[in-house]
Amino acid sequence: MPITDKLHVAPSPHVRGTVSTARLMWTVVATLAPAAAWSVYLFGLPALTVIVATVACCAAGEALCQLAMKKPISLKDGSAVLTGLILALTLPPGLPLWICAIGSVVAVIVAKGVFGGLGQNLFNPAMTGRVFLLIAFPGPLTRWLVPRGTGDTLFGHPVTAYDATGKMVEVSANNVDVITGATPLGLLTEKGTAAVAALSDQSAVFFGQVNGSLGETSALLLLLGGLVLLWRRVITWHIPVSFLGTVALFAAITNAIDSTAFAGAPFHLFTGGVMIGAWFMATDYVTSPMHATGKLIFGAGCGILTMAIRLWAGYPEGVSFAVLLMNATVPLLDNYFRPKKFGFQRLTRQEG
Amino acid sequence: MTPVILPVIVLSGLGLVMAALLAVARKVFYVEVDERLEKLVDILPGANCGGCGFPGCSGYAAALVGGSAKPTICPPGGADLAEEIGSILGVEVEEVVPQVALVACAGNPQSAPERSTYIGISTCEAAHLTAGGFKSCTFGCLGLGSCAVACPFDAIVMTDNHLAVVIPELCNGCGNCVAACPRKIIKLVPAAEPVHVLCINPQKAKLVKAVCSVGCTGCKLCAKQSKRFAMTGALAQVDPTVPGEIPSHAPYACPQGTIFDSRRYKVLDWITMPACREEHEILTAEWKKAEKERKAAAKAKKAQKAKDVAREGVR
Amino acid sequence: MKAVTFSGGIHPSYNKDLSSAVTTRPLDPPEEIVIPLSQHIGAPARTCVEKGDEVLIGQPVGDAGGFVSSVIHSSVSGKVKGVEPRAGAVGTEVNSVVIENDGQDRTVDFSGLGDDWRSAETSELKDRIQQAGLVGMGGAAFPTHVKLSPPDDKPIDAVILNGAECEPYLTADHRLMLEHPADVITGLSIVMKILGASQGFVGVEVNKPDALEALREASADSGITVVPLQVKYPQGAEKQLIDACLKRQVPSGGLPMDVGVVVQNVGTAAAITDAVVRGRPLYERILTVTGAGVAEPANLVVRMGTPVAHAIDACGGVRGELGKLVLGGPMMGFAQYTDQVPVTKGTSGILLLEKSAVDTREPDPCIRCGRCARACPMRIIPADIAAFSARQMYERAEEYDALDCIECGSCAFGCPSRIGLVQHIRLAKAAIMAQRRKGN
Repeated sequence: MPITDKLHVAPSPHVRGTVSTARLMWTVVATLAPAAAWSVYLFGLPALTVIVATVACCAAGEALCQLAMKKPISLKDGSAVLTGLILALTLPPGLPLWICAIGSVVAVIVAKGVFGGLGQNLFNPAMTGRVFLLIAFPGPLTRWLVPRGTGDTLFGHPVTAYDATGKMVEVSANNVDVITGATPLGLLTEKGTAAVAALSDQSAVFFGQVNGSLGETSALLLLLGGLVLLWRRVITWHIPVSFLGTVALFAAITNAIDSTAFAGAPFHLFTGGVMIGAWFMATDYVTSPMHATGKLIFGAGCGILTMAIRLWAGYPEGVSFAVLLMNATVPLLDNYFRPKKFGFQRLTRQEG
Repeated sequence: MTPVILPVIVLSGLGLVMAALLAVARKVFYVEVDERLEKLVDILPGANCGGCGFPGCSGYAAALVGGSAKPTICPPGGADLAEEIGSILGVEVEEVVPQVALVACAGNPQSAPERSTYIGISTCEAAHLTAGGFKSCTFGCLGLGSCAVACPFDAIVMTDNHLAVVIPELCNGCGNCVAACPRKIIKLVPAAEPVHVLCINPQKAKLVKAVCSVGCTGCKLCAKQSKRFAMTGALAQVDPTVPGEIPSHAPYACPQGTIFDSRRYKVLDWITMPACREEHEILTAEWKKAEKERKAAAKAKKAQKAKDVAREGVR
Repeated sequence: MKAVTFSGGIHPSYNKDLSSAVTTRPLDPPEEIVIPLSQHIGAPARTCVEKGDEVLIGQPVGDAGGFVSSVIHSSVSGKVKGVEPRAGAVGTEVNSVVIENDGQDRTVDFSGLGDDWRSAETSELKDRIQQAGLVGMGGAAFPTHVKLSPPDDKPIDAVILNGAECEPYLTADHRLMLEHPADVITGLSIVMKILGASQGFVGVEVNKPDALEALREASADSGITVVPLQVKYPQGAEKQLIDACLKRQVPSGGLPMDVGVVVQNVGTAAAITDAVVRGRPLYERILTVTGAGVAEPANLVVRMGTPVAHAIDACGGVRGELGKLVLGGPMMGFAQYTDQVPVTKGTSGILLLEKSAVDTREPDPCIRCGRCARACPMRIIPADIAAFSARQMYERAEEYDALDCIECGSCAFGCPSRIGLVQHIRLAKAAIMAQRRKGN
């Protein structure tokens, strides 16, 4: 059969692998889904609305941005949805939806769109959104609903109840709208290790029967999600291992020095945003180093900054600040820690 | 009251000290600048096109002052600027022939079809290096616009039929496009030259006709109309070194319609408007008819003359 | 022996079972043969026949145009129809000798050395190889006699034969090693004798266990080591192969001889045996016709100058809608615009890809995932170099070692954003080299 149609000419290679940006992004979304579902189970509707609103706002924001810049709309690649989901998981349940919307706009437009879209941003969009909200709206951002299955007390500490108008009421009153309580890290910052001593022994923080941001609750589900990412080769081991390792080491040392002032390694690993941060935020391709050495340093830097903020700064939690600060070092790390190229080292010649 | 006064005094004092330091520094570290350099920088076009071969206009100015550059090599400035430069530097200036760039290809997808579908980076260089380009003629304009990107004056238009066209009125002759074209289709020609052969394919007629219907086949018919057409192998070109004017009927002699005459059409119209070609065909037919009649008349005249001579002889 | 390898690389779908079990068969030459005078790296050959000349199989039609050049022989007997520009494999027209095949397959007298090669002078062996027009048959087509003439200050102690055949789809080398293992081993022994090398290796990927076995049997008692290689692309790249077999790294910008090694393709080794022992010049070669776009994938022995279309027809023709026609493998082969290009000494395969398999989508932005850098066998950073190249920052691209790129395509293969990394780097390399030439 003679060839009648014009043939395609293209530079080699003529075959490609099956990995695509969209597939990577949606894989990460899928691995975060269990943790998100768990938060909806724990906190109910207030959690679901935050997730839906944030994801929708991020998607809409990205589309608007691309419309304004006359670029093709690329919602299908999942990057905006992923940003939305990660941002949602760093927010407390029951956050007013307009605050969610502002956070989304900051994340996808201010932190990403104006830098030129996907691949161009220096700072992690979701982290930028969260930190902006934390500074702009400290009140709503630190009001933590108590999870399902908790009664008048949370880990032996009193909880606070509010009615629909936001007035504090008795927990047992019948006009209670929401019940809130301090997070484990909050307790640690305010009251010291004695307050969380009971917690460290229990498995609640690992399995997720605690309060906090949506994605802070179940360390187990996040860990499983992260392992799936590793198994699917979406991420490499360097950043999570060095991040978690540094946190564990830091906590173990301080705990060994003074166990009354500092909590132990398991507590620090399984509370707050360390798990989601190490597996899902610090590993964001665009805002993390490309090469192994840089990744190890980046992860270690995140770990040290997180612990420094937790132990000595005003905020009880520091993962998002740590990741953002380390984002700024990425161009430097990439420039200085390039892989050693082939043929770089002189080899001794065996005489034959 | 005192808590306010003290900072005010300290800050004002600091300001005064700094001001004094700056004043001293200005005197001590004063750098002598050749005043000719400043004047030159002022009169140079400031487009930083690089046509002179120096890094931008200030680089050229420095080279002029240093004596390592000729005053005539600023293409956008032309003859006027060369004269001004000459007067500032106090040197004699040779004559400048203003030049413009010309894209010597008119093979659109109809006349020079694509032979394959290219997938890859959208620059001419990239496409040219991939399987010899997607156009049937391996000498023809790929139309991906690398020259237009290189042009600092926005003088190159990429037409809808995938060709690059230099607008002579906007072109300053800096030559950036010449360097950008991987196929060397663009050349600098004297701005005053009205007629051009729009083809660079040096191959023989059979090969050219196989790939393009408006390419030069090397038939030499144009060379019969004017001495200014010079043949390099099987490619006709207008020779800028030969003096004289090309007659307006010269384009009609080309059976491929490769010769373009700016005295009749604007180059952009010629490339983009089929009507120009249609009109050209009609004029060509008319000219050929007239030429035929002229030849027939001349032949008849000659025959008559011969007859007369013969008759004279008989008588 | 444990399978060895290098660091980096990728695991594409190999698709070798399309043709790996098909025994090679000779392809009858067509009525007209088009032999390009430039089938190799270096100066084109100078034609030594004229229109109307009668030629025989094995008769030179082009003399070497210099030291780095190659003799070209007729692959059929018949009459020269002319010497004219014809479509070549890189898209431009190449001066070619067109021969009308008389179908009688008359050959010149082939007189080889037989087993006497062991006692022959090195210079004679080299001369025979040069006169037989041998070039590297893995694809690059570098004249073999040049590779066998290293300068005196670069002693060679090891010769490695490349039987990795790491390109997906291709099975020509596999069939050759399986069907003619003795020729391969003899060829290697000849090369070792010429270079005075003490060690000889044949590297074969472990996905060809039958070929490994055949070579082991053929090389028994010869002092030659058959090295099993891990299945990974580009295991057959020269520098990576040396690294795997000998743990020597060719320095950046250097050649294998800088670490005392010469690498030859197994096909070249078999052709050396043909040239030296049997006196037959290189006028035909084994190649694979394969891909989803061809009806019956096969391994053929094809005369040089046979139009690709003729080989495709012999394999049942095109199946479905043809999207791409590639000479060589899918990772480093050249896409063609016509099926009239001739088979040359460097053509290891004809790959036909269906239209549906051709990805025409625009690339997405780089997300800096680093897959390209991890896949790169030279451990440079394709994403960075490509970004510099796209902005025409060629000096920066050079600082990032663009010139070390071997264009294997591992980076572009795994890029989730489908960025044309190899093409960007190739452009940067071209610009850097042009700049260097200007500087000199």
